[in-house]
Amino acid sequence: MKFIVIEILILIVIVSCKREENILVKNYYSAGVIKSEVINMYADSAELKIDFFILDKTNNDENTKQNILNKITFDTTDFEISIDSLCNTITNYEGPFSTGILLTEGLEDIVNMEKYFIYEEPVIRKIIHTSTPTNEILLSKVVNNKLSLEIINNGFTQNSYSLDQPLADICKNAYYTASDTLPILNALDSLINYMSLNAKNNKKNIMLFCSRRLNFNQNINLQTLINKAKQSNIKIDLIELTPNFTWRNFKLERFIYKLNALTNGMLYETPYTFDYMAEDGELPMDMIQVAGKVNEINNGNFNCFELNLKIKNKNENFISDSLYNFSFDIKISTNYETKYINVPVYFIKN
Amino acid sequence: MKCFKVILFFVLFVVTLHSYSQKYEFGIKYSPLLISKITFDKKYIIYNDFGSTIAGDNKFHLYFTGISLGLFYKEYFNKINYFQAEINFNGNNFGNQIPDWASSRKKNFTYSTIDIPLLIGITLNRGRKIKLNLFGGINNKFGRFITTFYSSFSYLINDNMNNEYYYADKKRKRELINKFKFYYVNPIIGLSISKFGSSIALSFEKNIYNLNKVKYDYNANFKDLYLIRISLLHKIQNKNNILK
Repeated sequence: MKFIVIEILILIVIVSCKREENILVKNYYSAGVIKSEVINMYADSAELKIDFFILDKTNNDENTKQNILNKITFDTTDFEISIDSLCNTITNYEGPFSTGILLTEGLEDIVNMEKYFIYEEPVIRKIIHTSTPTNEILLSKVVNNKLSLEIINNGFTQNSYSLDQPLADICKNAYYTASDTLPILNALDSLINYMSLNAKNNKKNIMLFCSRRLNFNQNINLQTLINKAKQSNIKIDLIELTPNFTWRNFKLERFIYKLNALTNGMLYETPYTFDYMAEDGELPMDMIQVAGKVNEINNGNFNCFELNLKIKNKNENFISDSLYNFSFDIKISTNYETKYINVPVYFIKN
Repeated sequence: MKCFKVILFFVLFVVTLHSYSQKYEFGIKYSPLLISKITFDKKYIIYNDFGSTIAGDNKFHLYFTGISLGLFYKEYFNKINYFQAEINFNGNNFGNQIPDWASSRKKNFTYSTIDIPLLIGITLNRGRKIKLNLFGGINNKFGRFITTFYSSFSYLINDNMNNEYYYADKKRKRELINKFKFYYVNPIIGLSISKFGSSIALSFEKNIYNLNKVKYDYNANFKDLYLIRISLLHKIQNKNNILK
């Protein structure tokens, strides 16, 4: 009898040992633009220089060592594009940066945006933790019309851990339906002012994370804001977590992308928004991969590709001060698979 | 090394008691039910993968802890007072404590410890067939054993033929488990009802010491731990000189 009891207990214990499954890591590559410069622009043609990266997980998240010559195809009907040259290059050393992170809360429409803040939090935290202590960083958010900008803690810091709890608090409470008018331009203006006065480094950038919002306050002249950013030596970097769904207000979208292109800011648009099972704790690997390189991209001496292009506008003449865009696909091949990575490019005659 | 010294002391202590014993009982203990709660000192737990979860829902949750099995040794001083030492392999489950994991398929924020409670008990109703006992003492908790196993069959090869996986919840649970100290002591009190050789016991323990291996300034640390266990004890050997 005693032995039967012991045997039953042992059986229950063995059955109680649970098993967990592992989930596949995907998306080994992420590609984005470090900066795109218009070298020359004529009536119906332009010469463009694009610095871009292809981060490769098999190469410790460094720029891929694969030969991508003859593997670039352009995805556009508006332009006729030819490659002038393609080479590996190392960007100029820029030194330490003062980085301001500006984010917005609330969603005008939650469709396809359910995971936005779940993705945003680890991306921003990785930027913060990898940027410091070499660079100083500031976390801020757009609030409301009375107080357009809220700066978290005491402004710039080199202690990344001090922003952990506030960031979690913002992202965990940011998911709500919002129909109010977003003072994002006022917040940008205030942040540029604050950074001009308080940043200790000459090199400055703002990383903008804008959730899907429709109404925004338009009481600031866009050109004035662009000039202010350029005069303050501030570039606007974008990591787009939900491209095609973020922007409900296309006027705001065009302005933000214009600001990004005119200040030679970095741009990454993830093609994998819906690839991850956030509910099972899967993290957006490609976005986090890029986030971990933001500091190196900004500080310079970064290994990347330089692409020189000749572009002919098939439909109309180029208009100065207008924003144009196209994208190109890079065919990445390994022994086991072939993958096409899309890189969107925005350019404007400065 | 300190832990092994402590264990050695307990073993020698029990062996010494046993050599002078007039009446003792030896048996198995099974603790299939656990009601637990753990609280944190900050609002969010920040993980090494740069993600976070809300730190605890401040509620008690009931778990089936099928893995909790042990042995007990009961030494009677007289007809009503006794000393009891146990060695248990106990599951400590907190999966439902993290609200962000409520929708996750895997909630195994579970780890096991070797528990060595040293208890003093008193029989409240002497002479009855069904005995009601009150006991209290200390519970020495050792280790952070992962008793959630990972089957080799679930490993898949991806397109790149690389065996590299990322599953945040699993890593996060391990990270949380590893935040616990390897050894700590909790006070424990309880009540048991016994008839013949079997008894059912309800015990309650709460930490009074720090649970954290390292305390972080900007991350959530463990604060209060509450464990309520329902156990079944069954005598498999005894010696009785007192009652003769």
